[in-house]
Amino acid sequence: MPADPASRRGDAGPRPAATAAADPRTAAAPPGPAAGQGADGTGAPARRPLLELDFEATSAEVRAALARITGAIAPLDPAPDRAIAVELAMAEVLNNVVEHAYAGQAPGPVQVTLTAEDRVLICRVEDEGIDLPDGLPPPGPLPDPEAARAIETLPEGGLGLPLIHALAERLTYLRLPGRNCLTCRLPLG
Amino acid sequence: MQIETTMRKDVLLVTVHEERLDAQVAIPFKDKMRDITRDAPPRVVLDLSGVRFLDSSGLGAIISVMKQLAPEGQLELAGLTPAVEKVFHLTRMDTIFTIHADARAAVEPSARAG
Repeated sequence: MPADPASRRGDAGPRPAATAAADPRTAAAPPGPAAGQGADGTGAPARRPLLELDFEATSAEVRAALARITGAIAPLDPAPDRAIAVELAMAEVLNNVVEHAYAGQAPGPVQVTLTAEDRVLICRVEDEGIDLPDGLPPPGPLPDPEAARAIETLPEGGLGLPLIHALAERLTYLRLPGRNCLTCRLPLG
Repeated sequence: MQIETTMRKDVLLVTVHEERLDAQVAIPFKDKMRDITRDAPPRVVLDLSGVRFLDSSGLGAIISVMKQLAPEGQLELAGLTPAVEKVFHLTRMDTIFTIHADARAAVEPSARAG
């Protein structure tokens, strides 16, 4: 039986006003690609996104989003190992939004923009949750399970970010007014 | 959470009939495994051949089950699909678990991996 995402906020009372307030971007619904400077923020010419998603940050919605993402990249015929990497990296990024950005509050919106450029998938994920207080932790070595020595000290959590670092290239984190923006590049092989 | 259990000789074989072991099912999976393995023999083999996708939450749940069983019991894995294998490899958890090619190899003593 899957966990009911709604149950976690069942007794949380009314949604905070900040979340209920209309997102100006979605309310205004600007026509055409909003990313005028290229999805990777480098000022490269804008390309039409391969996929744009806007959904509520719950684990059920993340599952649905991942299905859309794998479906969107399938026509690009990614190498099997790369397709796995894209799904896993995006899962970890989106899980972090669900678990950390909206921790202790009702799930808010998350936007995913994927653009393909020269066999590389450029990913942009934005949310309106709390920021990473110290920015994105730098890529460190993955925890060494053998260094745990005893089974009871093996880590059960904190494995998501090391996975993202291992899978994604040029990972960047920006805190914009009221929102987090994470970008990365995932080669398609 | 679809999980099937079979006793094979002195091994409890647990087959996961879920295509995804992810953040959405990690907690129900852990709870169900705790119930299933309460009176389990020392060896428990988790057949993951039906699991096409595993994320860090699912991995954390499997590690948690392993820790619950220790030190008397041992959790072994079988039938890792490519995406599942990748997660174990990248996190180096493949150095911690005994991993069998498939469930059949796991329950036949002659084919038991070291």
